[in-house]
Amino acid sequence: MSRIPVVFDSDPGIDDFFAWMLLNSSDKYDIRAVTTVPGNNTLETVTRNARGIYRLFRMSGTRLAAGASTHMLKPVDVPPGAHGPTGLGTVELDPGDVKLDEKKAWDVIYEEAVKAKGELEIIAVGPLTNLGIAFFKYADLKKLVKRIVIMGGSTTQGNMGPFGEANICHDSHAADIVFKTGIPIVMVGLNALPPCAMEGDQMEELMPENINPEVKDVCLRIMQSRHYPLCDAVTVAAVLDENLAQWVDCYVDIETRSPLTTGITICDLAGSKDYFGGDGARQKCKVAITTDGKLYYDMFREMFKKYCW
Amino acid sequence: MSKIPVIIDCDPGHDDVFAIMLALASDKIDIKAITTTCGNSTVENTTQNALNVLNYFGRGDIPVAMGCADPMLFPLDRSAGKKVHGESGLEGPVFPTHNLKPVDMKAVDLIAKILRESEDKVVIAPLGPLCNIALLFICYPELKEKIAYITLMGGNTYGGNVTPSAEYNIWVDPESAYVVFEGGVPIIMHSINSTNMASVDDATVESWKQIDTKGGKLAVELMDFYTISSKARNKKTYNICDANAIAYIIDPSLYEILYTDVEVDLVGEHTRGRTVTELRTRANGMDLESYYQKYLHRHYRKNCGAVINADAEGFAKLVTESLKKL
Repeated sequence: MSRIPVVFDSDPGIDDFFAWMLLNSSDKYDIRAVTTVPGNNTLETVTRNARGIYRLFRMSGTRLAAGASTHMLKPVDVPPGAHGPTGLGTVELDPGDVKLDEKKAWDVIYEEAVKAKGELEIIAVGPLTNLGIAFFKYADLKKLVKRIVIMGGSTTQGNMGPFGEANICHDSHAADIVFKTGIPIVMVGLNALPPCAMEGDQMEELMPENINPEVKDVCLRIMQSRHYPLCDAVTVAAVLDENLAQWVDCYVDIETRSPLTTGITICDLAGSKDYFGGDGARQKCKVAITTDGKLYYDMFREMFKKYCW
Repeated sequence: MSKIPVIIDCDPGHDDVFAIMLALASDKIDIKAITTTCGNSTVENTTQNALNVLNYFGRGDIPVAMGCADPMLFPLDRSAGKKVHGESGLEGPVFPTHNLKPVDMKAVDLIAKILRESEDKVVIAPLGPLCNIALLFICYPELKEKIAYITLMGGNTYGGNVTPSAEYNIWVDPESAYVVFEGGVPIIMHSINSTNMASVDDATVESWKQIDTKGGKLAVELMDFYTISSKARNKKTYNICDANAIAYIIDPSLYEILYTDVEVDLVGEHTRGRTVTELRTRANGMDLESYYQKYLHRHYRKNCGAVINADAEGFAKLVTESLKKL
């Protein structure tokens, strides 16, 4: 079976690191490009991290492109604490001689979409700024992308505002653009993550003896700064094996106007729009309701086997 | 033990009638008045429905006052109410004719009169849009202190019903709801989410057919219609939401309450009419007070008791027992 061409848009980021690691270990996807976006830290920092991860995972042939340095209507506001001073806890990865693409993230996304002739998927696990720019700049892009997988939002509680989730809140306008494209969207939000909580010592137990020592060391040092589920990794896991999550199809709208609720992903789980009508989204998204921790742990065990060199 | 004085402000409505029946059947509640508002139907219809129910149970002694015909800022949008409750707001039961009339006084003035004259603090149970209660707070702020607490059906802690992000009673008149939630009077909020938890099932509804009382007969007639409109929304159980607000007065132990910050959203493209309920204990790595100061430029307050869990079995039992007494 041919592998699915994918662009991975990310703001590494502790959980981004493991999402990338999972995606890179998979035979399902062919990573055509990795693009960076500010979120968990500034563009400069996350891009440096991306180069370091690219080297650590011994990648080649995949384009690596930096994205926006600001969000669409707002400046970048890096939350204190969540991902530590380097964005990877306190870990500083050597970027080696990894070079960035000459093109910006949105141009790379568009070029890869054209090349893939309608088969391209995008997995976006940071703020959706690069995607928002790409769809704004290239009106025909929405006809070229097969599916967008998003870590973001929540059907229940948030982590920024009572209901907002950071990736959507950082750039709710970009999220609004993406959710209105009409492209099939898969959304894994905060609500679905708790079964996949994993601590550093639990992760260590999943590693084979002969795992690359640098990879092992980096993973475990990064995990020292992490105390809740690896959101982005769960998202990638859920599309590598869609049995890992329970899904529902529902309309999702992004609030962009209210100071109280901006960034909320309004998931119409009760089917209000089907019955009462109403404005907003006209295409249902595939939304994860909950996840299976055991499958997730198994997937990590298999993943680490690919990092033995 | 003296009874608890209660004013029911409502827009009957099938579930409103269940609420009224719980109150009529309870020996803990003294219904001081029923006031009506637009909502599930026009205020003329909801008033007639309230009078029909009181007449049916021989309780024409309870004063009924008609309230607001439209929400504060916009005319009433009847489309959703019609779908759930039918043209009259109470399609299904056929009531005998009678001569009961509402009192010659607006709802807000009757509520004010009762509060003013009552020695005990009075519980107000709003079961519809909050038009009359907002008007009360605006016209007679000095009477707020005569309110024991407000137990209302409305709002949402998560998803909504009339829109994916708002519950009907608040959505109809968000500005009035804002006035009430900011009013400083203790509120117990029976949201669409918590009342869903107390939905009754087919077996319970079936069991009411065996109750040979006026209450039992009316319950069956109400549910004959209400189950159809519920099923049209793919519901397998039936949320007689308003009855929870009264059940709370009778037996608060049926409900788990989180006292927290609730603000009504007025401006969202999608979230207008949402009761934005703070369910977290910390936010963005900060305590809630610091978070609210930084991002919302105000204090975190516990202005509302949001119901977060309901005892469905206990609730169904209370409804069933009440119907038997009527």
